[in-house]
Amino acid sequence: MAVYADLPEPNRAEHLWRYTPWHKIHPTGKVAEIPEATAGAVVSLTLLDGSEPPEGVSLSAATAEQIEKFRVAPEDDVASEFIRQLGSSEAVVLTIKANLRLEQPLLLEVEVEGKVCILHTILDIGRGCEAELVTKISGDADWFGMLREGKIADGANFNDVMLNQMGDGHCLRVDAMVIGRDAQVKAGTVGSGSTRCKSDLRFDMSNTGGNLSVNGSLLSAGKSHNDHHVEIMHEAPHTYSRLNWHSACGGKSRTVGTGMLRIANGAKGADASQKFHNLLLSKDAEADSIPELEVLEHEVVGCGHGTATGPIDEEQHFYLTTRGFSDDGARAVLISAFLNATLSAMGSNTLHDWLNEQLSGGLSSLAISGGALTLSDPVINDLD
Amino acid sequence: MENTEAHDAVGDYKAGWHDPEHSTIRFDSGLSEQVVRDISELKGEPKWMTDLRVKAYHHFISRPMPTWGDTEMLESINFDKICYFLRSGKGTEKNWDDVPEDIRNTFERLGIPAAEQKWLSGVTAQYESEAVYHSIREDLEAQGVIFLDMDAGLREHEELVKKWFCTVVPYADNKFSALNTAVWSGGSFIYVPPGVHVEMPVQAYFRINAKNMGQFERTLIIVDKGSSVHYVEGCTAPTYSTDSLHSAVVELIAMPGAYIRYSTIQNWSNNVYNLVTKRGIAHENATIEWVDGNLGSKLTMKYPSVILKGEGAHAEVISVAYAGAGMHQDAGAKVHHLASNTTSKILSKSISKDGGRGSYRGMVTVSKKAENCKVSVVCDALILDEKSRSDTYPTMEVSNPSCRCEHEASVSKVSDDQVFYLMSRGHTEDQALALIVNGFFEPFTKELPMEYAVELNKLMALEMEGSIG
Repeated sequence: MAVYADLPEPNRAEHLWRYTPWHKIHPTGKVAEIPEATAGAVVSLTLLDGSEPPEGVSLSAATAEQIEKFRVAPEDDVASEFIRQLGSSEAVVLTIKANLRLEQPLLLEVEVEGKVCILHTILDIGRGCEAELVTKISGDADWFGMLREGKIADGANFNDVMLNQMGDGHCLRVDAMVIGRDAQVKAGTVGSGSTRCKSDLRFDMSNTGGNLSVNGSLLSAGKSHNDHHVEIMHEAPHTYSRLNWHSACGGKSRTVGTGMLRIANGAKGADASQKFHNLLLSKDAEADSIPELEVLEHEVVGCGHGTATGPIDEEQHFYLTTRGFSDDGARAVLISAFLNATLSAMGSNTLHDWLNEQLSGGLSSLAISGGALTLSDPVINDLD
Repeated sequence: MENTEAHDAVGDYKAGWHDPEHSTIRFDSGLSEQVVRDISELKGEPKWMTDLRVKAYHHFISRPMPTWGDTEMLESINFDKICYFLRSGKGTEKNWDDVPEDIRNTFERLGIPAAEQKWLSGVTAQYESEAVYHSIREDLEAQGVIFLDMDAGLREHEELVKKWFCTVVPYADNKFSALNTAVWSGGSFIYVPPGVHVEMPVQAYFRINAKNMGQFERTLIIVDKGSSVHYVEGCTAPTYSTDSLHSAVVELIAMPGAYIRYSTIQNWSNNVYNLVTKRGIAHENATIEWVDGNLGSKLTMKYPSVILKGEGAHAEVISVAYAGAGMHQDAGAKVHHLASNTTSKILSKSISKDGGRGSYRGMVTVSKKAENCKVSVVCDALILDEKSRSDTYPTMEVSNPSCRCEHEASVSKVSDDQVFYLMSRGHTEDQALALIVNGFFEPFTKELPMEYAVELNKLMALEMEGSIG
């Protein structure tokens, strides 16, 4: 088994590390160092309305067997091995029993404090269950590392949303999920927290009939740096995936979206696409996209990718101003609509409404009004 | 290699024969500083060029192999087995009858003299390391157009070469540009004076004949204000069981308002590594177009690039690749928007068959100061069987909010419905597939001179035989 110290520093020629090299997201910047003063994140699990989760849902310390059984992230992945080592190979496991149907989403609150804070979470999502989970990260840790590994069992219908509302710290996130046979999964990322964020999201579609929808709704402002890498591996026949990533970028921020969509030989009938859309809101903002595609199977329904980057559409903006919106108000509506396109696809209406409420608060500076997102005026100034 | 072996290795590769080697000078295999100095001395080059070659050689030696792309194939190149210089004739002739007979026969089989008479403004034919034949129409020469092989260009127009050489592709740009700068030989040198339009294309034809040969031509094209030229190059090599290396560097300079189209039909045999750096700089309102066809070679790594330096400049890259058995076509395009109101369009198409691998690798950057740029990138790929593979690796870096940048790509197989329809109209399966493939490549072929387009369609029809069932 690989140990962090044995792994070489990742090469920037790999696009995974091209825009955020490992030393830039390492807590001290010195890649050989393993910080000692590490704190564990404080986690709590409730339903979205604050009530206790029903029977069949549990959050507990993971056993060594569970950690081994759910080891999904690649062994040579520097980021996941680093977090594993910082956490002394301890983890929490969130279990949802087979065939359980939850009426409302689960909320996993993660409070991060201190200089270096970590959390290793395991998701054990039972066969045939129907559930939604929101993981909300908040707090003022200088550096937070989160490793999430999980298996979504056969036939499960699972929506998984990550909401990052951290303060000014740095965030390293590694997700590695296996999608079961005929499972339907929606994986959403909503973020505007942390000044530097590096996320590697990996989905293993090695079971027939798996259906995956990955959505991103990101607002970058100030000098923030958001780098998300999404890797979807179609290994089994008749698997389906869609990636839609919307990123609005203002201030002096930089957003990076890299994708790797791989159709293995034998994944007949695969249907996959990935799209990265970037909205540039200020003269100093920057957006980079690398949507990669590797297809080794010719019997596919279709495989494609696309990326589009541009400013706010002037005609749409003009139309709104003719209907009584102020200049900033029209911009706010268009930005909100752009971000909401993927936000609304992350899960149920309940989940969407809750996300809107959360975003109406301070960090993301997004506010809700009558079901449609609008941006508050101070944000517009920040974005400019 | 016997002809039967050659056929087994490459099937119907039409240019796979080879002639007996009649070298007048052949260097021992392997590369050293002395080899570099010897090449330079043999050509009687000025000291600055020798020094540049030596600097480039040391950079090549110290620089590691790329860690991206097909690293396995790259690592299998044995630089010590390559011959870095081979002279086959006495020099560059201006009359086909003066070219040694076997070399002349080779080019006649490839149709070069006939094409020259019909539709070309000038021709350079390079055999191994140096040009063996060269001509240009007298009226163009009278207008001040310079079209020479690169060695003659350096001898006769040293100041012009010194001014521009290595300015678009520095020797330290990458490992293979360093290798080329160290051992370059042959290639074309073109200068078109202001206001001159070269109506008919000029062509260079590159042939590798010897085993384990390295061909390192260097091409420099400078098109002055308001002028235009269309340059066409073709390449073939015999089929051997051992590998050869083709590592060229092409530099284009389009001055304000100039137009350069550079068309390539690369049809190396599948024992040739084709590792080429091609780049152009477009000044104000200039246009550079790369029309790039990759049909052969073992491994091609080639990404024609344009630096849009002047306001209003335009770049266009049309790239097609056919990856058959044992081939990896790693091709693509790069465009860097440095100035405002610049536009670019990239269209890439690839077909993978019989276990071949087609990769699009591209990059578009828009700098902070480049206002109102427009970028469109489209990649389409067809995979014809279950052994083959297609990859797309695009990179888009946009630092100006007024830019509109779009990229889309799709990978699919040949539609059963289309094949069925064509068969219901009387075509055989092979014919139907050839028609569909030719249609797929049509955006490329329609940009080629007619003779090339017809030949390419025939070639693809041959490749498609037996592809179904």
